Amino acid sequence: MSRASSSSARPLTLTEELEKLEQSITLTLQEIDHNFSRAHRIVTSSILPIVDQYADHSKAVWEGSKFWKQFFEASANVSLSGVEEREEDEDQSYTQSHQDASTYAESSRPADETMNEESSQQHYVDDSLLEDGDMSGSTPRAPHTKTLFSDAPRTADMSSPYEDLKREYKGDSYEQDDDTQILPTTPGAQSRNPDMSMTPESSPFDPTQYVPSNATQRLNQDPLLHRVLDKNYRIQATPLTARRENKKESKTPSKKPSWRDNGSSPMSSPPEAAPQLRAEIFSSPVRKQYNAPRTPGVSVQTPAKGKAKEVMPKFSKKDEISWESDSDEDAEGVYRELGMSPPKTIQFNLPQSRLLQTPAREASQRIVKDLLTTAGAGFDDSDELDSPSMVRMSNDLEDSF
Amino acid sequence: MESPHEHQQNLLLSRIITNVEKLNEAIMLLNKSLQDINIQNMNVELVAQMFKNYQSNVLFHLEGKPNVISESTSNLANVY
Repeated sequence: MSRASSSSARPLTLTEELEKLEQSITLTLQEIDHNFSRAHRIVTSSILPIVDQYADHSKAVWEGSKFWKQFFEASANVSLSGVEEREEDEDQSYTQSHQDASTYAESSRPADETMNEESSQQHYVDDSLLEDGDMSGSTPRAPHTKTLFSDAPRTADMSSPYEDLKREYKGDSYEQDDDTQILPTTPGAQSRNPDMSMTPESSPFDPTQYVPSNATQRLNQDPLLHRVLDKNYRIQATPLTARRENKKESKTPSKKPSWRDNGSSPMSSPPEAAPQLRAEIFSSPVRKQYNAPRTPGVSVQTPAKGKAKEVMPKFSKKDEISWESDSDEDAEGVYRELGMSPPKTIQFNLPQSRLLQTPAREASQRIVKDLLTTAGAGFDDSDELDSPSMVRMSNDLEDSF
Repeated sequence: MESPHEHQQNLLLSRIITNVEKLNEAIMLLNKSLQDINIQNMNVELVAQMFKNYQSNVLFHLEGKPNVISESTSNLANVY
Protein backbone atom coordinates (compact mmCIF):
# COMPACT_ATOMS: atom_id res chain seq x y z
CA MET A 1 0.00 0.00 0.00
CA SER A 2 2.79 2.25 0.80
CA ARG A 3 4.29 1.61 -2.63
CA ALA A 4 0.95 2.34 -4.25
CA SER A 5 0.52 5.49 -2.26
CA SER A 6 3.99 6.59 -3.13
CA SER A 7 3.44 5.84 -6.79
CA SER A 8 0.18 7.73 -6.69
CA ALA A 9 1.85 10.60 -4.83
CA ARG A 10 4.61 11.05 -7.43
CA PRO A 11 2.44 12.20 -10.34
CA LEU A 12 0.64 14.46 -7.92
CA THR A 13 3.88 16.10 -6.95
CA LEU A 14 4.82 16.47 -10.60
CA THR A 15 1.62 18.25 -11.42
CA GLU A 16 1.96 20.24 -8.26
CA GLU A 17 5.43 21.24 -9.25
CA LEU A 18 4.17 22.19 -12.67
CA GLU A 19 1.43 24.23 -11.08
CA LYS A 20 3.93 25.80 -8.77
CA LEU A 21 6.16 26.67 -11.65
CA GLU A 22 3.32 28.17 -13.60
CA GLN A 23 2.29 30.24 -10.62
CA SER A 24 5.79 31.45 -10.07
CA ILE A 25 6.06 32.33 -13.74
CA THR A 26 2.89 34.34 -13.58
CA LEU A 27 4.05 35.98 -10.41
CA THR A 28 7.34 36.92 -12.00
CA LEU A 29 5.56 38.23 -15.05
CA GLN A 30 3.31 40.28 -12.85
CA GLU A 31 6.30 41.63 -11.02
CA ILE A 32 7.97 42.49 -14.30
CA ASP A 33 4.84 44.21 -15.49
CA HIS A 34 4.57 46.08 -12.26
CA ASN A 35 8.18 47.17 -12.45
CA PHE A 36 7.81 48.38 -16.00
CA SER A 37 4.69 50.30 -15.21
CA ARG A 38 6.36 51.82 -12.19
CA ALA A 39 9.37 52.81 -14.27
CA HIS A 40 7.11 54.42 -16.81
CA ARG A 41 5.27 56.25 -14.07
CA ILE A 42 8.50 57.47 -12.52
CA VAL A 43 9.88 58.65 -15.83
CA THR A 44 6.77 60.45 -16.90
CA SER A 45 5.71 61.87 -13.56
CA SER A 46 8.92 62.80 -11.83
CA ILE A 47 11.88 62.79 -14.20
CA LEU A 48 10.45 64.50 -17.23
CA PRO A 49 9.15 67.57 -15.35
CA ILE A 50 12.48 67.94 -13.61
CA VAL A 51 14.29 67.69 -16.90
CA ASP A 52 12.01 70.29 -18.40
CA GLN A 53 12.70 72.52 -15.45
CA TYR A 54 16.40 71.94 -15.92
CA ALA A 55 16.05 72.83 -19.58
CA ASP A 56 14.41 76.09 -18.64
CA HIS A 57 17.12 76.90 -16.15
CA SER A 58 19.91 76.02 -18.53
CA LYS A 59 18.23 78.14 -21.15
CA ALA A 60 18.25 81.02 -18.72
CA VAL A 61 21.93 80.41 -18.04
CA TRP A 62 22.63 80.43 -21.74
CA GLU A 63 20.69 83.63 -22.16
CA GLY A 64 22.85 85.15 -19.49
CA SER A 65 26.10 83.99 -20.99
CA LYS A 66 25.20 84.64 -24.59
CA PHE A 67 26.53 88.14 -24.42
CA TRP A 68 29.93 86.96 -23.25
CA LYS A 69 30.16 84.39 -25.99
CA GLN A 70 29.46 87.05 -28.55
CA PHE A 71 31.94 89.27 -26.80
CA PHE A 72 34.73 86.71 -27.01
CA GLU A 73 33.80 85.79 -30.54
CA ALA A 74 33.94 89.39 -31.61
CA SER A 75 37.26 89.85 -29.88
CA ALA A 76 38.77 86.78 -31.51
CA ASN A 77 37.07 87.45 -34.85
CA VAL A 78 35.74 83.91 -35.08
CA SER A 79 32.40 82.28 -34.63
CA LEU A 80 32.41 79.29 -32.34
CA SER A 81 29.75 76.65 -32.36
CA GLY A 82 29.35 73.16 -31.11
CA VAL A 83 28.85 70.82 -34.00
CA GLU A 84 27.43 67.36 -33.82
CA GLU A 85 28.95 64.80 -36.07
CA ARG A 86 26.29 62.97 -37.97
CA GLU A 87 28.28 60.57 -40.05
CA GLU A 88 28.29 57.65 -37.70
CA ASP A 89 28.01 55.02 -40.39
CA GLU A 90 30.91 56.41 -42.27
CA ASP A 91 32.73 56.67 -39.04
CA GLN A 92 32.24 53.02 -38.31
CA SER A 93 33.15 52.00 -41.80
CA TYR A 94 36.17 54.19 -41.55
CA THR A 95 37.32 52.53 -38.38
CA GLN A 96 36.62 49.13 -39.77
CA SER A 97 38.54 49.79 -42.92
CA HIS A 98 41.29 51.28 -40.88
CA GLN A 99 41.40 48.24 -38.70
CA ASP A 100 41.50 46.01 -41.71
CA ALA A 101 44.31 47.98 -43.16
CA SER A 102 46.13 47.88 -39.90
CA THR A 103 45.73 44.15 -39.64
CA TYR A 104 46.94 43.86 -43.17
CA ALA A 105 49.92 45.93 -42.34
CA GLU A 106 50.37 44.14 -39.09
CA SER A 107 50.86 40.83 -40.82
CA SER A 108 54.04 42.14 -42.31
CA ARG A 109 54.79 44.16 -39.28
CA PRO A 110 56.46 42.34 -36.39
CA ALA A 111 59.84 41.97 -38.01
CA ASP A 112 59.87 45.67 -38.75
CA GLU A 113 58.93 46.52 -35.22
CA THR A 114 61.63 44.45 -33.73
CA MET A 115 64.10 45.96 -36.11
CA ASN A 116 62.83 49.39 -35.24
CA GLU A 117 63.22 48.71 -31.57
CA GLU A 118 66.70 47.40 -32.00
CA SER A 119 67.74 50.25 -34.17
CA SER A 120 66.10 52.68 -31.76
CA GLN A 121 68.05 51.33 -28.87
CA GLN A 122 71.26 51.41 -30.81
CA HIS A 123 70.71 54.83 -32.14
CA TYR A 124 69.55 56.15 -28.84
CA VAL A 125 73.02 55.58 -27.50
CA ASP A 126 74.45 57.32 -30.53
CA ASP A 127 72.10 60.22 -30.15
CA SER A 128 72.88 60.61 -26.51
CA LEU A 129 76.50 60.91 -27.51
CA LEU A 130 75.73 63.37 -30.26
CA GLU A 131 73.17 65.32 -28.32
CA ASP A 132 75.33 68.27 -27.49
CA GLY A 133 77.14 68.90 -30.70
CA ASP A 134 74.95 67.79 -33.57
CA MET A 135 72.08 70.12 -34.24
CA SER A 136 70.83 68.12 -37.19
CA GLY A 137 69.91 65.33 -34.83
CA SER A 138 67.49 67.53 -33.01
CA THR A 139 65.57 68.77 -36.00
CA PRO A 140 64.39 65.45 -37.41
CA ARG A 141 63.26 64.42 -33.99
CA ALA A 142 59.92 66.08 -34.36
CA PRO A 143 58.79 64.31 -37.56
CA HIS A 144 59.78 61.02 -36.15
CA THR A 145 57.64 61.51 -33.13
CA LYS A 146 54.79 61.83 -35.57
CA THR A 147 55.57 58.55 -37.21
CA LEU A 148 55.76 56.78 -33.94
CA PHE A 149 52.66 58.57 -32.86
CA SER A 150 50.86 57.16 -35.81
CA ASP A 151 52.20 53.79 -34.83
CA ALA A 152 50.70 54.04 -31.41
CA PRO A 153 47.00 54.31 -32.36
CA ARG A 154 47.40 51.48 -34.77
CA THR A 155 48.39 49.10 -32.07
CA ALA A 156 45.59 50.57 -29.99
CA ASP A 157 43.23 49.75 -32.84
CA MET A 158 44.48 46.27 -32.91
CA SER A 159 43.72 45.78 -29.27
CA SER A 160 40.12 47.00 -29.27
CA PRO A 161 38.20 50.12 -30.22
CA TYR A 162 36.90 50.21 -26.68
CA GLU A 163 40.36 50.98 -25.44
CA ASP A 164 40.46 53.91 -27.80
CA LEU A 165 37.26 55.16 -26.28
CA LYS A 166 38.61 54.64 -22.83
CA ARG A 167 41.78 56.48 -23.64
CA GLU A 168 39.84 59.38 -25.04
CA TYR A 169 37.66 59.43 -22.00
CA LYS A 170 40.58 59.35 -19.66
CA GLY A 171 41.94 62.13 -21.71
CA ASP A 172 45.26 63.69 -21.77
CA SER A 173 47.25 62.42 -18.87
CA TYR A 174 47.24 59.06 -20.49
CA GLU A 175 48.33 60.52 -23.76
CA GLN A 176 51.05 62.41 -22.07
CA ASP A 177 52.20 59.20 -20.59
CA ASP A 178 52.28 57.88 -24.09
CA ASP A 179 54.40 60.80 -25.13
CA THR A 180 56.81 60.25 -22.37
CA GLN A 181 56.99 56.63 -23.21
CA ILE A 182 57.49 57.20 -26.85
CA LEU A 183 59.81 60.11 -26.74
CA PRO A 184 62.92 58.33 -25.53
CA THR A 185 62.62 55.87 -28.35
CA THR A 186 62.02 58.53 -30.95
CA PRO A 187 65.55 59.65 -31.64
CA GLY A 188 66.59 56.13 -32.32
CA ALA A 189 64.51 55.08 -35.26
CA GLN A 190 64.41 58.45 -36.87
CA SER A 191 67.46 57.98 -39.02
CA ARG A 192 66.66 54.36 -39.67
CA ASN A 193 63.15 54.94 -40.82
CA PRO A 194 64.07 56.31 -44.22
CA ASP A 195 66.06 53.14 -44.74
CA MET A 196 63.03 51.12 -43.77
CA SER A 197 60.90 53.05 -46.19
CA MET A 198 63.14 51.93 -48.99
CA THR A 199 62.32 48.31 -48.29
CA PRO A 200 59.32 46.91 -50.17
CA GLU A 201 57.71 45.69 -46.94
CA SER A 202 57.07 49.17 -45.71
CA SER A 203 55.38 50.32 -48.87
CA PRO A 204 51.96 48.84 -48.01
CA PHE A 205 52.48 50.27 -44.57
CA ASP A 206 52.71 53.82 -45.75
CA PRO A 207 49.07 54.32 -46.83
CA THR A 208 47.90 53.09 -43.47
CA GLN A 209 50.07 55.72 -41.97
CA TYR A 210 48.58 58.26 -44.28
CA VAL A 211 45.05 57.64 -43.12
CA PRO A 212 45.48 58.51 -39.43
CA SER A 213 47.57 61.49 -40.36
CA ASN A 214 44.58 62.76 -42.30
CA ALA A 215 42.40 62.18 -39.29
CA THR A 216 44.71 64.14 -37.06
CA GLN A 217 44.80 66.97 -39.53
CA ARG A 218 41.06 67.16 -39.54
CA LEU A 219 41.03 67.06 -35.82
CA ASN A 220 43.38 69.93 -35.69
CA GLN A 221 40.64 71.98 -37.21
CA ASP A 222 37.91 70.88 -34.86
CA PRO A 223 38.80 69.82 -31.38
CA LEU A 224 36.61 67.27 -29.70
CA LEU A 225 34.38 68.73 -27.06
CA HIS A 226 32.26 65.83 -25.93
CA ARG A 227 31.58 62.31 -26.85
CA VAL A 228 28.13 61.10 -25.93
CA LEU A 229 27.46 57.51 -26.92
CA ASP A 230 28.14 57.38 -30.64
CA LYS A 231 28.07 61.08 -31.29
CA ASN A 232 31.01 63.40 -31.25
CA TYR A 233 30.48 67.02 -30.43
CA ARG A 234 33.14 69.27 -31.82
CA ILE A 235 33.94 72.91 -31.62
CA GLN A 236 33.78 74.56 -34.94
CA ALA A 237 35.69 77.80 -35.17
CA THR A 238 35.11 79.61 -38.40
CA PRO A 239 36.75 82.95 -39.07
CA LEU A 240 34.14 85.57 -39.67
CA THR A 241 35.55 86.73 -42.99
CA ALA A 242 36.48 83.30 -44.24
CA ARG A 243 34.22 81.30 -46.47
CA ARG A 244 32.09 78.44 -45.24
CA GLU A 245 33.99 75.72 -47.02
CA ASN A 246 35.43 74.55 -43.73
CA LYS A 247 32.08 73.25 -42.60
CA LYS A 248 32.30 70.15 -44.69
CA GLU A 249 35.70 69.37 -43.35
CA SER A 250 34.51 69.81 -39.84
CA LYS A 251 31.90 67.14 -40.28
CA THR A 252 34.24 64.61 -41.76
CA PRO A 253 34.60 61.53 -39.63
CA SER A 254 37.64 61.50 -37.47
CA LYS A 255 38.06 59.10 -34.67
CA LYS A 256 41.31 59.55 -32.87
CA PRO A 257 42.24 62.86 -31.35
CA SER A 258 45.78 61.76 -30.65
CA TRP A 259 47.16 65.28 -30.93
CA ARG A 260 45.12 66.71 -28.11
CA ASP A 261 47.02 68.47 -25.44
CA ASN A 262 46.26 68.86 -21.81
CA GLY A 263 42.99 70.58 -21.08
CA SER A 264 41.87 70.32 -24.69
CA SER A 265 40.73 73.86 -24.47
CA PRO A 266 38.55 75.07 -27.30
CA MET A 267 40.64 78.15 -27.60
CA SER A 268 43.33 76.12 -29.27
CA SER A 269 41.41 76.33 -32.50
CA PRO A 270 41.33 80.07 -33.20
CA PRO A 271 45.10 80.40 -33.56
CA GLU A 272 44.90 77.76 -36.25
CA ALA A 273 42.19 79.63 -38.04
CA ALA A 274 44.19 82.80 -38.03
CA PRO A 275 46.73 81.77 -40.70
CA GLN A 276 43.87 81.07 -43.08
CA LEU A 277 42.78 84.62 -42.65
CA ARG A 278 46.23 85.91 -43.38
CA ALA A 279 46.60 83.69 -46.37
CA GLU A 280 43.42 85.10 -47.81
CA ILE A 281 44.58 88.58 -47.13
CA PHE A 282 47.85 88.00 -48.90
CA SER A 283 46.17 86.34 -51.81
CA SER A 284 43.52 89.00 -52.06
CA PRO A 285 43.47 91.03 -55.24
CA VAL A 286 44.20 94.21 -53.35
CA ARG A 287 47.76 93.27 -52.85
CA LYS A 288 48.08 92.05 -56.39
CA GLN A 289 46.85 95.29 -57.68
CA TYR A 290 49.45 96.81 -55.52
CA ASN A 291 52.04 94.55 -57.04
CA ALA A 292 50.89 95.13 -60.55
CA PRO A 293 52.34 98.59 -61.15
CA ARG A 294 55.79 97.28 -60.35
CA THR A 295 55.79 95.43 -63.65
CA PRO A 296 53.86 97.77 -65.86
CA GLY A 297 54.82 96.19 -69.16
CA VAL A 298 53.38 92.84 -68.34
CA SER A 299 50.75 94.01 -65.96
CA VAL A 300 47.86 92.35 -67.72
CA GLN A 301 49.25 88.87 -67.74
CA THR A 302 51.63 88.68 -64.84
CA PRO A 303 51.00 85.74 -62.61
CA ALA A 304 51.80 86.43 -59.02
CA LYS A 305 53.55 83.11 -58.71
CA GLY A 306 56.10 81.62 -60.99
CA LYS A 307 54.02 79.18 -63.04
CA ALA A 308 53.37 81.40 -65.99
CA LYS A 309 53.31 78.79 -68.72
CA GLU A 310 50.69 76.65 -67.08
CA VAL A 311 48.37 79.46 -66.23
CA MET A 312 48.60 81.50 -69.41
CA PRO A 313 46.10 79.60 -71.61
CA LYS A 314 43.59 79.36 -68.79
CA PHE A 315 43.88 82.96 -67.99
CA SER A 316 42.32 84.33 -71.15
CA LYS A 317 39.23 82.19 -70.69
CA LYS A 318 38.83 82.94 -67.06
CA ASP A 319 39.44 86.56 -67.75
CA GLU A 320 36.44 86.85 -70.01
CA ILE A 321 34.31 84.87 -67.66
CA SER A 322 35.23 86.93 -64.71
CA TRP A 323 34.45 90.19 -66.43
CA GLU A 324 31.20 88.92 -67.78
CA SER A 325 30.11 88.17 -64.28
CA ASP A 326 28.76 91.18 -62.53
CA SER A 327 29.86 90.62 -58.96
CA ASP A 328 33.33 91.55 -57.96
CA GLU A 329 33.69 88.66 -55.59
CA ASP A 330 33.51 86.12 -58.36
CA ALA A 331 36.26 87.86 -60.23
CA GLU A 332 38.31 87.96 -57.09
CA GLY A 333 37.78 84.27 -56.60
CA VAL A 334 38.89 83.50 -60.13
CA TYR A 335 42.00 85.58 -59.76
CA ARG A 336 42.68 84.06 -56.41
CA GLU A 337 42.50 80.62 -57.94
CA LEU A 338 44.79 81.62 -60.72
CA GLY A 339 47.13 83.47 -58.44
CA MET A 340 47.24 86.42 -60.83
CA SER A 341 46.87 90.09 -60.72
CA PRO A 342 43.68 91.42 -62.25
CA PRO A 343 43.97 93.16 -65.60
CA LYS A 344 44.08 96.89 -65.84
CA THR A 345 43.48 97.88 -69.44
CA ILE A 346 40.27 96.02 -69.91
CA GLN A 347 38.10 98.87 -68.78
CA PHE A 348 38.09 100.38 -72.26
CA ASN A 349 36.04 97.56 -73.67
CA LEU A 350 33.26 97.82 -71.14
CA PRO A 351 29.89 99.44 -71.66
CA GLN A 352 28.90 102.30 -69.43
CA SER A 353 26.50 100.28 -67.35
CA ARG A 354 29.29 97.99 -66.25
CA LEU A 355 31.72 100.78 -65.82
CA LEU A 356 29.47 102.11 -63.11
CA GLN A 357 29.97 98.82 -61.29
CA THR A 358 33.70 98.66 -61.73
CA PRO A 359 36.14 100.26 -59.27
CA ALA A 360 36.44 103.24 -61.63
CA ARG A 361 33.63 104.83 -59.69
CA GLU A 362 35.55 104.66 -56.45
CA ALA A 363 38.67 105.77 -58.23
CA SER A 364 36.89 108.83 -59.59
CA GLN A 365 35.63 109.61 -56.11
CA ARG A 366 39.13 109.41 -54.77
CA ILE A 367 40.45 111.60 -57.55
CA VAL A 368 37.80 114.19 -56.82
CA LYS A 369 38.58 113.98 -53.14
CA ASP A 370 42.29 114.43 -53.72
CA LEU A 371 41.67 117.35 -56.04
CA LEU A 372 39.43 119.02 -53.52
CA THR A 373 41.84 118.48 -50.67
CA THR A 374 44.75 119.84 -52.67
CA ALA A 375 42.60 122.79 -53.70
CA GLY A 376 41.90 123.44 -50.03
CA ALA A 377 38.23 122.58 -49.95
CA GLY A 378 36.85 119.86 -47.75
CA PHE A 379 35.34 116.74 -49.18
CA ASP A 380 31.80 116.66 -47.94
CA ASP A 381 29.23 113.95 -48.21
CA SER A 382 27.32 116.16 -50.56
CA ASP A 383 30.11 115.66 -53.04
CA GLU A 384 29.24 112.03 -53.34
CA LEU A 385 26.10 113.08 -55.08
CA ASP A 386 28.23 114.58 -57.75
CA SER A 387 30.39 111.57 -58.19
CA PRO A 388 28.17 109.76 -60.70
CA SER A 389 28.32 112.78 -62.90
CA MET A 390 32.06 112.68 -62.61
CA VAL A 391 31.99 109.05 -63.57
CA ARG A 392 29.89 109.86 -66.53
CA MET A 393 32.29 112.51 -67.53
CA SER A 394 35.14 110.09 -67.27
CA ASN A 395 33.16 107.58 -69.26
CA ASP A 396 32.68 110.11 -71.95
CA LEU A 397 36.32 110.76 -71.91
CA GLU A 398 37.12 107.07 -72.16
CA ASP A 399 34.64 106.63 -74.96
CA SER A 400 36.32 109.41 -76.81
CA PHE A 401 39.44 107.28 -76.89
CA MET B 1 -7.42 22.62 -23.83
CA GLU B 2 -5.66 25.88 -23.13
CA SER B 3 -4.44 26.00 -19.59
CA PRO B 4 -5.53 28.96 -17.49
CA HIS B 5 -1.95 29.72 -16.64
CA GLU B 6 -0.99 30.08 -20.26
CA HIS B 7 -3.88 32.40 -20.88
CA GLN B 8 -2.94 34.51 -17.92
CA GLN B 9 0.68 34.59 -18.95
CA ASN B 10 -0.25 35.66 -22.44
CA LEU B 11 -2.26 38.52 -21.02
CA LEU B 12 0.58 39.45 -18.76
CA LEU B 13 3.05 39.39 -21.65
CA SER B 14 0.86 41.66 -23.73
CA ARG B 15 0.59 44.03 -20.80
CA ILE B 16 4.34 43.97 -20.40
CA ILE B 17 4.78 44.72 -24.09
CA THR B 18 2.50 47.72 -23.95
CA ASN B 19 4.19 48.95 -20.81
CA VAL B 20 7.61 48.61 -22.40
CA GLU B 21 6.42 50.52 -25.43
CA LYS B 22 5.19 53.32 -23.22
CA LEU B 23 8.41 53.34 -21.27
CA ASN B 24 10.37 53.41 -24.49
CA GLU B 25 8.49 56.43 -25.71
CA ALA B 26 9.00 58.19 -22.41
CA ILE B 27 12.70 57.49 -22.43
CA MET B 28 13.00 58.65 -26.00
CA LEU B 29 11.37 61.90 -24.97
CA LEU B 30 13.76 62.12 -22.07
CA ASN B 31 16.73 61.47 -24.33
CA LYS B 32 15.63 64.10 -26.76
CA SER B 33 15.20 66.72 -24.11
CA LEU B 34 18.51 65.81 -22.54
CA GLN B 35 20.21 66.09 -25.90
CA ASP B 36 18.77 69.54 -26.41
CA ILE B 37 19.94 70.52 -22.97
CA ASN B 38 23.40 69.19 -23.72
CA ILE B 39 23.63 71.19 -26.90
CA GLN B 40 22.56 74.27 -25.02
CA ASN B 41 25.02 73.65 -22.26
CA MET B 42 27.85 73.17 -24.71
CA ASN B 43 27.67 76.86 -25.50
CA VAL B 44 27.73 77.66 -21.81
CA GLU B 45 30.73 75.43 -21.43
CA LEU B 46 32.42 77.22 -24.30
CA VAL B 47 31.88 80.50 -22.53
CA ALA B 48 33.21 79.06 -19.30
CA GLN B 49 36.33 77.75 -20.98
CA MET B 50 36.88 81.05 -22.72
CA PHE B 51 36.63 82.82 -19.40
CA LYS B 52 39.02 80.33 -17.91
CA ASN B 53 41.50 80.95 -20.66
CA TYR B 54 41.04 84.64 -20.30
CA GLN B 55 41.70 84.40 -16.61
CA SER B 56 44.84 82.39 -17.15
CA ASN B 57 45.99 84.90 -19.75
CA VAL B 58 45.34 87.76 -17.39
CA LEU B 59 47.22 85.99 -14.63
CA PHE B 60 50.12 85.30 -16.94
CA HIS B 61 50.16 88.88 -18.05
CA LEU B 62 50.04 90.17 -14.51
CA GLU B 63 52.73 87.82 -13.32
CA GLY B 64 54.98 89.34 -15.92
CA LYS B 65 54.48 92.72 -14.30
CA PRO B 66 55.02 92.30 -10.58
CA ASN B 67 55.50 96.01 -10.08
CA VAL B 68 52.10 96.77 -11.45
CA ILE B 69 50.52 94.24 -9.14
CA SER B 70 52.30 95.55 -6.12
CA GLU B 71 51.38 99.09 -7.02
CA SER B 72 47.75 98.21 -7.60
CA THR B 73 47.56 96.26 -4.37
CA SER B 74 49.15 99.10 -2.50
CA ASN B 75 46.71 101.48 -4.09
CA LEU B 76 43.85 99.24 -3.13
CA ALA B 77 45.21 99.05 0.39
CA ASN B 78 45.33 102.80 0.47
CA VAL B 79 41.81 103.05 -0.78
CA TYR B 80 40.47 100.70 1.80
